[in-house]
Amino acid sequence: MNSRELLIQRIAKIFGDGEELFASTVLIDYLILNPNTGHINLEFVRQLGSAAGAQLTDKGILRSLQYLSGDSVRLIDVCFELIEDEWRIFDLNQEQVQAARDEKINPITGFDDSEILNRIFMFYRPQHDALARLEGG
Amino acid sequence: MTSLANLAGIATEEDEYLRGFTDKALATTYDQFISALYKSISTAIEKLEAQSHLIEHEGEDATTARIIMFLEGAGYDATQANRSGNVDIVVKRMQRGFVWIGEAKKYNSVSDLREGYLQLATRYTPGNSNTGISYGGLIGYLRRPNAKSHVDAWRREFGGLEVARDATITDCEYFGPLAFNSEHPHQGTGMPFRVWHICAKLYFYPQDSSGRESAVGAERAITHARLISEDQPPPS
Repeated sequence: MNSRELLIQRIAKIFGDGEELFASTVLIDYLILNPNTGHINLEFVRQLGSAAGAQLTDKGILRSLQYLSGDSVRLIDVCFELIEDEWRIFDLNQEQVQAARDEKINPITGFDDSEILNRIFMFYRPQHDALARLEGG
Repeated sequence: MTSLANLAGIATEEDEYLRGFTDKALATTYDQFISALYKSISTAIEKLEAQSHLIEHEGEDATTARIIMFLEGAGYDATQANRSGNVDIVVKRMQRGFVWIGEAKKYNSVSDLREGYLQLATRYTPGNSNTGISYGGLIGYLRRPNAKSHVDAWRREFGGLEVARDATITDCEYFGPLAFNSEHPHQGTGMPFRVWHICAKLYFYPQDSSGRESAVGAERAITHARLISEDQPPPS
């Protein structure tokens, strides 16, 4: 899939004319204009939707983010970070997040931490090669 | 911001596309990828079964396209792709080299599934991992009554296939007695080949008054009688 139009058509075919299409479209268009956006999350897409006149649900946004970061599109990459406080923010890889989720440990210190999942956050970053293909399509 | 703890409340198991969300996002091994994929495939099959009244005259390729489109919506790279022949479903995660292949067949008789299995196990290049184990799937679209008897018949037939000699059979965690898992050495690689045998139950024959009294209902009754008659064991 190598153009914005084809991608939007595919999303409409899969999800229909619902909020997944709306959320995906506003995000795709935003990223084409702002390819260096660093931190995409649910709140960010909700604000984009709100600015475009739609109240998007968390499920609709998450479905859109899952599709756009999925293996068939990979327009954005899923990332994780541990935020201890304003000054201590750690990027985490998938294995570290798995360990935190499955063993309830702090993946940086290795200590038991039953509340760790409240301090690990998911966000997305643009995949610049895919974005360039989309713009050039 | 959305923490992983909050995410669990959004990506619930009841949401067909978001089911297994974190498992999909965190899968770094082939086994984890397959485990997450199987949850999504089971959802796709359940969705098909719930739509059996809408797709009762649909062809094999159109039904397979529904599975592929659902998997794509759930975040997979699922396509109808060619790997040494015409494969029905290929699911890939290119950046990690994970591949799963699936063969989908209209299940009119065990010979349809035999042919499908032989294609899957001997014609196509299997998906694999650095462990050498490969996974595949055989999906039978059954539009006949009494699914269990057909699955049992396929299980017996499968046990007699030369290519599956000494196969280990295990129960299916998603569909109970209406599916099973098999494992035997792949004839090409000599390494374990694990196949999920799934029966998608697409038979639709409502016998309430609105089902009986419509023109479509009359057609279904004739079809039902024919299928029941075909499924009788031959006289000895």
